[in-house]
Amino acid sequence: MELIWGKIDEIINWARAGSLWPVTFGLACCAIEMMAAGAARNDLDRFGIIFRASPRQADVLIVAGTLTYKMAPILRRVYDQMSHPRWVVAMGSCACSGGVFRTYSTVQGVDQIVPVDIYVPGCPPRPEALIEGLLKLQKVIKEERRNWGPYARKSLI
Amino acid sequence: MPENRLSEPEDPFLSVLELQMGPQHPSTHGVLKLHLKLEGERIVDCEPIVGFLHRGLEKLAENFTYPQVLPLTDRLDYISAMNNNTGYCLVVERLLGIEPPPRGKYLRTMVCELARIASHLLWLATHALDIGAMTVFLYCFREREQILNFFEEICGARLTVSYPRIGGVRMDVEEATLEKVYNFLPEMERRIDEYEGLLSENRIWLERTVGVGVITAEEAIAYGLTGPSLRGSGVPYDVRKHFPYDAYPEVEFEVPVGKNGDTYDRYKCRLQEMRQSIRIIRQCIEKLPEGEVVSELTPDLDMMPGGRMLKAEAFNEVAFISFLQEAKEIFPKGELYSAVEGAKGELGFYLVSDGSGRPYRLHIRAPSFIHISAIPKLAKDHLIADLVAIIGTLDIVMGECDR
Repeated sequence: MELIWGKIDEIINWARAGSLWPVTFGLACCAIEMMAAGAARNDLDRFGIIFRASPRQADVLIVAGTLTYKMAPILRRVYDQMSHPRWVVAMGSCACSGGVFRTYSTVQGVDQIVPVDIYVPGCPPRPEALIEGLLKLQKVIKEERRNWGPYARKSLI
Repeated sequence: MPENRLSEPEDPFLSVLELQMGPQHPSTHGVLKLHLKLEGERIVDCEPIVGFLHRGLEKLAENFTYPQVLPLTDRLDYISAMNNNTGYCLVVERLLGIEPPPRGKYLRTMVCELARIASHLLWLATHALDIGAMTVFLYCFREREQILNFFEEICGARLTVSYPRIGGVRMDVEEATLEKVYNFLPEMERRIDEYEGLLSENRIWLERTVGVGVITAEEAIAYGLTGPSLRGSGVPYDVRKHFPYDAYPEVEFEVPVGKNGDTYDRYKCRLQEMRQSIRIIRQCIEKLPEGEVVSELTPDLDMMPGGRMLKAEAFNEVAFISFLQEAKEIFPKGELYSAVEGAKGELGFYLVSDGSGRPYRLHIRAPSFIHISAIPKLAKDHLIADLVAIIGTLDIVMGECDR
């Protein structure tokens, strides 16, 4: 029985990791590097990563840029609108920890609002760094066990 | 059962429909929210709501010393960071009364114009993508990557560069890099021809841009528009010509102006500006003088006079107090305004100095903030699809608008 589940896991994870569709949640400077990662030089389409404008069609939320308290409810709403399974990549120092903006209006890390799977540091990270982060995420997905059907792990927060 | 359940629903084409556009919207160029009032698809009223990227940058600047503020200015208009750095450096240089050496001035002019091309390329890419031309997006990013590679060779960073410093630039540029930039210029000119071939006479592009978002010269001045958005209406105002800084008085260039003040003229204007930028860069490299790149009077990062560095072990309480006292001596009091021609428009820095080593108040006159205030005027009586073109044509950056 374990063997069969293992095979099912493998197939499902392979399909999920091979077609990560991120929702574009560009907030600040990092959004430009995210666009650069999707454009001509660093072609993200090679990895089956195609940007979607709608959270309903997306698997990954790339939070690219500074999150402010005014924007935080909208991030949470976009995250809640995404269907399971879903993952979050925090791109840039601001999204990871607040970065240089240790001020009254900046959220000190998006992990206060949504659960984050991968942190990509840098201010802003190069497109290569984002690609590295997404490849790491693919690795994380490939190692998941029994995250499907009735066993699907719903996020706790 | 309540009575109003039985009454007929209102006709959506007769009543005003309110719609929130953004802030998470792919076409609003960042986190701009628009509160639209619609009759059918016609926009009756439109109210921009800003502040979704308010990072408290001006307040943060008050807690930093003058050189420490410089990296913050990168994150204003992150598409052309060189222009922001130069603008901030100019105001502090005027406060301290120092002037960069000629080589520093020319290098600063060169990187500013490279950043302007990069910014206009990104504008063209996103504007065309919003209107529906995917090819231009990919083409523009190809050239933009080349310019970012030059930035990387010059200073080691792609976007947030901090290359211009108070009193000059960070370090000298190697000859090989200059040669690469010089050889890139004719190629860039050919690429601009390519974009024009794709767009300028494209029927869809003409339908989407000609006569959309018209603003007359008087109205544009009244709204405070600057940069290509103003010049598209036919007003030849350019900070580089009217209040020249750095090496701009010594190079030849023209200020392209439009005629009708619509989206198409602003597009033409920006493409011409890219050609003029190429001309400026070429002259800068040809005329580049020898010598130092940073002024001797430049305060170093610890803000000590005479270029002395505070050693880490000496940085105790007593040393810190004397450091503050010494810093007080070199900084005059006063209020200054200084502007540069950023890629979006006139980018001004208003600095109040109280004599300490930190700005008492730093106000930033961000062109994007002022341009957003013109969206309701431009969008009136247009369709929602045109609104996307109007947001694109103003070339707004929310990092600069909300600060």
